[in-house]
Amino acid sequence: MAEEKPLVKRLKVNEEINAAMKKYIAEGWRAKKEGEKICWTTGGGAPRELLHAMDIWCYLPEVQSAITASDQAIVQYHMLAEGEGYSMDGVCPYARGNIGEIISCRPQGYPLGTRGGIPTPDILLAFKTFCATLIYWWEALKRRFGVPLFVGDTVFYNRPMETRDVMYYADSMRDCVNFLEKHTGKRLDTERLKEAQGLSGKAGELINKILEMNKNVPAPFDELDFMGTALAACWWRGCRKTPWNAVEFFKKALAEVEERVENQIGAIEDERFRLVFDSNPPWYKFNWFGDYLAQRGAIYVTSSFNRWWPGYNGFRYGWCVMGRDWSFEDIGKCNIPHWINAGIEERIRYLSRLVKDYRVDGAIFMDNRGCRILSYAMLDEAAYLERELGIPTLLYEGSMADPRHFDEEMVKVQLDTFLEILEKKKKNKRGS
Amino acid sequence: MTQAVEILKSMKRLVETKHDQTRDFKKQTGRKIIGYTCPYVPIEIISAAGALPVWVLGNTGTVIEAGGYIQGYFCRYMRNLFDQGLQGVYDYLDGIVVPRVCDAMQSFYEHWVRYIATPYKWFLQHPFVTSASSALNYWTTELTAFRESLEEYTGSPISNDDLRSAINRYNTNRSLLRQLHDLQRSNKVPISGTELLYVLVSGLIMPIEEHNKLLQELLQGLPVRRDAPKGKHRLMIIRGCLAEDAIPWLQEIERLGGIIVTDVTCSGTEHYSKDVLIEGDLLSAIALRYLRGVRCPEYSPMEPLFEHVLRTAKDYRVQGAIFLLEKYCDPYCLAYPDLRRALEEQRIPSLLIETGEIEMPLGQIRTRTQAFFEMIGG
Repeated sequence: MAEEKPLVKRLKVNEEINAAMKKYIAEGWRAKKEGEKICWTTGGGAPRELLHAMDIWCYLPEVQSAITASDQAIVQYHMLAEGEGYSMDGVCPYARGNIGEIISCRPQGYPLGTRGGIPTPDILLAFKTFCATLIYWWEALKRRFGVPLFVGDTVFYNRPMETRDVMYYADSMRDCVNFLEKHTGKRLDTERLKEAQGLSGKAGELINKILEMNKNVPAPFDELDFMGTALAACWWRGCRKTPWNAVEFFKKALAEVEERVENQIGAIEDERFRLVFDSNPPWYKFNWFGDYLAQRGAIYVTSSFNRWWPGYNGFRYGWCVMGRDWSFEDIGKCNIPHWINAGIEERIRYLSRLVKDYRVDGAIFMDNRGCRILSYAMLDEAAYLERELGIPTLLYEGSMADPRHFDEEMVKVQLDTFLEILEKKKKNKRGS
Repeated sequence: MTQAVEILKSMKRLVETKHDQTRDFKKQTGRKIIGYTCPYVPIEIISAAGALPVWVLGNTGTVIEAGGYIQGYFCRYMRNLFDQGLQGVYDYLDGIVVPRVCDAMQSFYEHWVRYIATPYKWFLQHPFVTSASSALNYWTTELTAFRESLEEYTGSPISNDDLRSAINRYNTNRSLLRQLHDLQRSNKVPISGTELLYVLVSGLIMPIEEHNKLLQELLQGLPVRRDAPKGKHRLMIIRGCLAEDAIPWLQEIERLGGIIVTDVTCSGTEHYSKDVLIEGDLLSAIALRYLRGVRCPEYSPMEPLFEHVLRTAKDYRVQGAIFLLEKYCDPYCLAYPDLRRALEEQRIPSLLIETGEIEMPLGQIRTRTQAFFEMIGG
């Protein structure tokens, strides 16, 4: 019986995140009490390294919403936001979760979340590198809290990068520095920024090394399981303090994965189907998904998601690949072509590369009702993989943070059928 | 029948037969037809290049083919535009120009260029932060590149005289539309919202000089119109793009006793509120107007939009606002709760009507609108 097979062997390093997060929130309260400025910033695209270099405590509502969803607690907050008029269909579930948490703070005065209270913002910072929704969301936060907002811009990457695009991004960064200095009273020490950038680059290298390990057969870790480390990559990259030092964290993760490779330990038993995943994961079904596949001999060996932070060979994304020597223009050159900011052609090129390099048997997409920017090219990507690379694909309907858009029984049927197709294809290949 | 009524009827006919009209125009003049999707596209540059800018507009058709490319949880309006493209409704277009506005518009452009064979395509990287220090400079260089690409495509340079002349034509049009809009302030409103929609839309698809002539004649005729609409409740419509797909809803709202006196929509007041000020470098003047002269919820900062909504509501003495919002419109869905609250603080009640793939039956709109009118009284 498929149900009796062992589940995914999860990475132990993930267990450290909860304790570190608790300490991080406590550090936020210390900063608030001592009169330091608290910044709420976008997980996507905003210059975390800059905030760490200036010792500005930052909070990432998107990541918090992912955590709240994985704690199975987000729907109550969604309903509070929907009660104020934020549409279930029209508004991102991360945004609804965050706004609902803020509404729930009455009368405490601060959002509770599921991991203790969060200090309210004194400044807001958003970058238009990922979706436009982030900007609308941060504008709503500005109206709610009445605090200053800075919005940085990144032009859409659907044509070769022009010099003016890069300069425009760099100007945004300089404006961002001026904004932070003005509203926090702190001066940016460029040496500290170089250090943060160096740490960020180092963390990126480590993540890349880890992700490369999954080219091994059997794959040493479940790519979905590794998505749990996104908090460290997204929030703490560039931070030098323990336990939020992303370099220290990913060194431990690498050691754990290397040990598995040396001992030929796979993340699942009897690996038969190697899969690529595209979209945000359904956080409320985080462990369920990997286990359901593991019991049927399937595993995600690569994904677009885990490459958001470090990029990939030939696809220089994000901040993590910069290292110490950089300029704001260089940072622009890395952020403009980011996967989420890219046109259909670039997304197809990138996904095809992952499929080939990781010897993938099938591709699974979450047709994500909660995130239009992630989903807009999915039908084109799936059609290309099927037609040009002969890779079977499955699109199941869901949402990264609203379980009301996920039908477990329906998804089970779809997964079973999909795996049967892969099995049949394998048999045909052996027979020919 | 008065002259004004005749002109309104001719504008309605123009809208209803717009594709045939444009095909004939192209055949007769040999001019290029360039489609665009949003009030952030500087049509003066297209017109100065000798082409006819035509706003690609939503209709009441069901989305069929587009569902195979763009999922159902994307803005129905954009899916409908793409669907029309796939079905060849806009097969006479020589080009398509789309600005960076919302994620749905980006998706629309990406799909159009991939699946519809339109010879000229251009994506305008409009700044997302209209107040940013370098936004105007960047946008001006972006428009310079746009101008050059059009010159290359049409094979003829765009002179400053061409630009100045195009600016004047469109400024005249905006000025005439503002005069028409001003008439709606009076107690005796001369034109219904549905009629106004035909006036606006006809201007988005025909040569602007001809539209200007019609508008001048209409403005002369309207003050003496005897069969003016008799709606009781003065209303403001808030929506992204107000196009033909909205006609059944507007007709129903006005049939029940409402009179739409103003709007905050892309194809309405946002389209004609501000002129291009002819000062200094013409391209910079155009850039400034299209950077800060249009106020939609797509860009940061949003205060100008909120101020515009409240000021318009006050100036036109509206008794209620109707949000006619696309179900999956990210920018409006996130702005709506605060916009509604801001209106409430000014004692202006509002009604939300969500429009989506499966259109709300008119019966539901009727019931809710009737209840809304009872609430606002008068």
